[in-house]
Amino acid sequence: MLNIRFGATDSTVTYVDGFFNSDYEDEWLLDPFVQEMVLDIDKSKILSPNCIESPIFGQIPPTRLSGGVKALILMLKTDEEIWATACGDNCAKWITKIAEMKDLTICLEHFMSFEDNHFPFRDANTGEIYNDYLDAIINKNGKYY
Amino acid sequence: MRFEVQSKRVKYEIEFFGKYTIITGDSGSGKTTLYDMVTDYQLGNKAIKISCGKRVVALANHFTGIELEPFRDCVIIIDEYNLLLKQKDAASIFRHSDNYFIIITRKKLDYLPVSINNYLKLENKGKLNKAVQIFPRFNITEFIGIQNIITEDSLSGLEFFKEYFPEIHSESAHSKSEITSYLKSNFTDFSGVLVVYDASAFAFSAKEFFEITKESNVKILDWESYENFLLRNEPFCEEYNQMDMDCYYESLEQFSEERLVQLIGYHKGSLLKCIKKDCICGQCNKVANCHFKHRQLDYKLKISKNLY
Repeated sequence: MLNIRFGATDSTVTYVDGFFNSDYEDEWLLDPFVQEMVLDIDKSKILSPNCIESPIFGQIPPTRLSGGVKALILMLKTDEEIWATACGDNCAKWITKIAEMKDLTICLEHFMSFEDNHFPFRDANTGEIYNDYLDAIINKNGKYY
Repeated sequence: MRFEVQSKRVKYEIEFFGKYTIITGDSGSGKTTLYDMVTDYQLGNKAIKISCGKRVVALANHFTGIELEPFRDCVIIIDEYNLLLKQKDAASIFRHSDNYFIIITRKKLDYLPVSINNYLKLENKGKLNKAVQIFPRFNITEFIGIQNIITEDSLSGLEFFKEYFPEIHSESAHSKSEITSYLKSNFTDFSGVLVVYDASAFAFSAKEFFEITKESNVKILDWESYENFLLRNEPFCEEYNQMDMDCYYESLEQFSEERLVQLIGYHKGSLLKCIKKDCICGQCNKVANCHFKHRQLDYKLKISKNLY
């Protein structure tokens, strides 16, 4: 299930870029699900664990992936609470897919647009269960802290 | 102001006006690359070219604000991981810094009065990345069928509508970030609702607002600010827009308010005495020294020619 914390805590991985660069494992990049996310978000093809083909920059290492796709990979491969404000709206569908596969807690400090706002999630701040993302946003009065 | 940065592989074009500009949008659109290129340029990478009328500085991510002190009238680029954005006193640091800021972030920094016009995303066309405005402007003057007016302002902005449009129910949502929840809590259907917000400071509330009101018939009056509206009209007739803004004012709203203070000792807390409908100009205790006395005011006509 998806858990959303509105506002970061000390335990949230907010420096997603640095955390990924220090913590990623080669085999993560061999996972077809990860390869699909990288192709969708960064339009880049994983050639090997250390080499990714970017349409703009040619061959790049995984450390040069976008912050959004790094956050998605960390959500999938670790149990950390990841700062999803590193993710654009084009990552939202992947977040809900990952949450169908495992218990996932993300932190939001902005309004993320999901294509369909009707999905179940738990507000990690209050424990409340919502079936509509917009209901939670309205309850928060637009505040993410 | 126009800012361009380019290498052989990629080029960025950003046009912005005023102190704060936000670059946001999808992952993988090249925002971090923009920041990295400016950082490389500072380190002496001569393969990167920057064109801008001002000095451009990428603020290192571990800097927390005090490092801004030596800079004046520069364009400061800030990445989403910058520690300054986590500082409790960030609002004050930004306010007191006389620089232009281009901030790459999705985080809701609602302490910054950012104009809808300066809330941008990158559009990619081959090697060119151009920053474009995300949310539309409306400038509605058509008031037909309006039954409810919702303002973000609970002071003079609200009083203005109560004074000039007494036949329409006017209420305040109390703040810009509460407009969305106010609408959802008070209306099932947004037909006949006019929302009034200050576009010069609404950027961080816009995404939720447009998501909640999409496919509805809500009407929008997005003037730059109430004070800017007053300035533009009689008796002042001073037109200022976003393009006139420099880094010494946080927003067009702040500038307009300060200008009114200079002109007439304006106070935001209540409706300006001389724009009240029953005002008799000659009875005002300031009339002897007033430069604007005895002008004819018709704000109702100014704001809407088609109310009835």
